[in-house]
Amino acid sequence: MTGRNGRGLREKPMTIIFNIVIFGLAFLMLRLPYRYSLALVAIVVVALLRMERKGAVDALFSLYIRNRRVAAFSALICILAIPVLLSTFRYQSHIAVMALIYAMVCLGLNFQMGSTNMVNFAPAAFMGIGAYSMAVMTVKIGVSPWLGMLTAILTSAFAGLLIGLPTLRTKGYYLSLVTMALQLAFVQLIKNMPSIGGPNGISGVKAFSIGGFSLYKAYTFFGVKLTPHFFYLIFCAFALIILVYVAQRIYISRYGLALNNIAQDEIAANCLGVDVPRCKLFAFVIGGVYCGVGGALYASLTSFVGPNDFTFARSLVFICMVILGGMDNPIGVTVGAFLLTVITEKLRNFSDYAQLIYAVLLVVILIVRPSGLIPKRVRDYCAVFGRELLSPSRPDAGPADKD
Amino acid sequence: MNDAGPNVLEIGGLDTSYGRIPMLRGVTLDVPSGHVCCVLGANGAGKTTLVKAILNMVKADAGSMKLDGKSMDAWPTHKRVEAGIALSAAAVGTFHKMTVEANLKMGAYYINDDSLLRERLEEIYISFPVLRERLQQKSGTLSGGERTMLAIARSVINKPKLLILDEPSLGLAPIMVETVFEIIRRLCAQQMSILLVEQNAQKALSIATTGYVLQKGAIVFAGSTDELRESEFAENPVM
Repeated sequence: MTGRNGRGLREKPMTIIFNIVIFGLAFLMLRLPYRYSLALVAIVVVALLRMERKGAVDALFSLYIRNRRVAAFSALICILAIPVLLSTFRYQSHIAVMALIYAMVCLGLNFQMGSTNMVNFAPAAFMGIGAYSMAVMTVKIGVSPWLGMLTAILTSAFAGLLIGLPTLRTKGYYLSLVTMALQLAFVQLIKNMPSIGGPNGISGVKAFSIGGFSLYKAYTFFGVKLTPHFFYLIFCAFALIILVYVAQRIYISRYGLALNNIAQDEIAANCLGVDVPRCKLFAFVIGGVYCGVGGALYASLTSFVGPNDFTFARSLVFICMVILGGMDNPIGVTVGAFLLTVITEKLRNFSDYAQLIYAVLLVVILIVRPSGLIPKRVRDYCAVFGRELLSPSRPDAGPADKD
Repeated sequence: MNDAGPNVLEIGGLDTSYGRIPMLRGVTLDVPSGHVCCVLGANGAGKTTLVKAILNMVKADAGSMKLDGKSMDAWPTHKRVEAGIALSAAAVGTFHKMTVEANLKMGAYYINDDSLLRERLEEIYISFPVLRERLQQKSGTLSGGERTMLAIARSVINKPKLLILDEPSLGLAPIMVETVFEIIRRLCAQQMSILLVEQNAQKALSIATTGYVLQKGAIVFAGSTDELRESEFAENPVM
C-alpha cells in the first residue's frame, strides 16, 4: 500500500475509504438502471482480475487485517448505510436480500465444492429442503418462524448427512451424479406431494419478528414509507456476516486444511490421521446448515415456496456463483453471489439473453482465471512457524466484514 | 514405552489378500523399540502391502497387530496414526498445491497446542534446514529430495512411536540418498523406532539392527542384521 513509514497514520483512513468504495460500488450496482449497473459490474470484474494479478487484493486483505477494528467498524456502518440508502427502493432492496441469501447457499456449497472438491449439484435442493421445512412449520403447523428456521437447519443438515453417506463410497463424477439425482428427485417429490402443496407450493410463510416487531413490514418513519425489506435486509446482512465469519474460521482451522487435503490426496490425508469419512460428512452437514439458513430466510422473504424455485437450473446458478467468485474463499464466494445475482436481476428485461450472458461470463472467467475472481488465499502460519511476516501479502484470515 | 515391553510393534500371523489373490501369508514381525528394523524384498514381495496393512489401508484377513502391547486390530487408519504410527512413503505424496508450511501443519494434525508445535518445528528446522528456506513454497515446486525430506519431516513432527519409511531412497540421486539416510541415522540416534522398508539392502542394513526378508508374501528370514549380512539373502542383488 503506502510507504511503510506512513503506516498507522494513513492506513486507517485508507481502510475506511476502501470500505466506502467497496460498499459504494455494491450500492451503485443495486441502485443504477441496468445499463450503468451492468457496465459497473463489468468494470469491477475486470478490475478484480487485474488487482488479483498485481497482488492488490492481497494487499487490501492485509490492510484490513492490520486495521481489523477500523475495517470492521467502518464496514458495519457501510452495511447499515445500504438499507438506509435503499429504504424507498423496494425492488433494489429485494435484489440485495436475494444476493445475501444466495451468498449463504453458495457458502454452504463451497464447503463441498470449493474445499473438498466434491461437486454437489443439489444446493438448490438443500435450500429447498430448508425453505419447505420453514413453510411447513409456520403454515401447516403454525409455530414461530424462529422455530421454523431451526427445523430448516436441522432438516437440511440431516439431508446433508443422508446424501453424505453414499459419498463415502463414491468419488468424482459418481458423487456428482448422486447429488444430481437428489436434485431431480427432490423437485419431482415436491410436485407429487399434495400434502405440502404439490406443484402449487405453500403460500403464507410467516415473516420473522423479534418480540412482536416484524422484520418484514412496511414501516413509516417521519413520513417516509420504508420498503418492507428494510429490516429484513439488515437482519440477513448480519446473518451473512456471522456465516462468512464461521466459514472463514473453518477454513483456517485444521478441519479446513484437512478438507483441502482430502481434495488433493485422500490417501495421504488419511495417512496423516485425518478421519476422511467424518470430514466429508462434516462438509455435507455444515453445507446443509448453510443452505437451510438460506432456504428459511428465502421462504420468509417471498412468503411462498414452490417446486420451481429449487430446480436444477438454480443449482447450476449456485455452482456458477462459487466458480465465478472464487473456490474456497468465503469472501470470493460472497462477491460472486452478489455479482451474479445483480446481473440476473438487471437482465430481467432481456431474460432471453440472460442465460447467454451468464454463459459467456462463465466461459471467460474459466479461461482467464479458472480459480475465480478472488481465489483462495495461501494459508499463512507465520505465527506458528516462527517466520517473519513477509511483506504485506498472503493474509489468510480475510476480514469477515466484507459484504 | 519401557513398560510396554521391548517391541513397539508386534505383528503375528498376518494374512492379507487382494480379492481372491493372497498377498501376505503369515507374516510375523516385531519392531524393537528405539531401533531400526528393516524389511527387504524384491518387487512384488509384499513390502508395501505390509506397510498398508499396518495402517489398515489394506484389510488384514487374519493375524494380530499390537502397538506398544495394545491390540490395534479394530482401529481404523486415522486412529492408528493418532496412536502414534507415522508413515512416509513414495505412494503417499506431499500435498503439491499446498505450501511446505501447510504440509507440516497437516502432519501435526493432532497437535493442537501452538507452543508445542513451535517447539517441534524448531527440531525439524535443525534436522531439515532446507525446509525452513522453503516454508512458503508450494510443495509441488520442490525437488524430489526436498519432497522426501518434507514427507519425512511431516511424519516425525508428531514424534510417533513408530515411524514407517517405505522406500525413502526411491527415485533419488545417490547424493540425496546419502542425505536421507543421514537423517534416518539421526532419528535413530534419538531413539525413534523405525520400520524401514527398502530395496537398497546395503544402505538399509548399514543402519538397522534387525532385519526381515520378504519373499512372495512370506517372511523367509528374520534375525539380526549381522546374521542377515552373512546369509544368502544379502548376496541377492535384486534386494
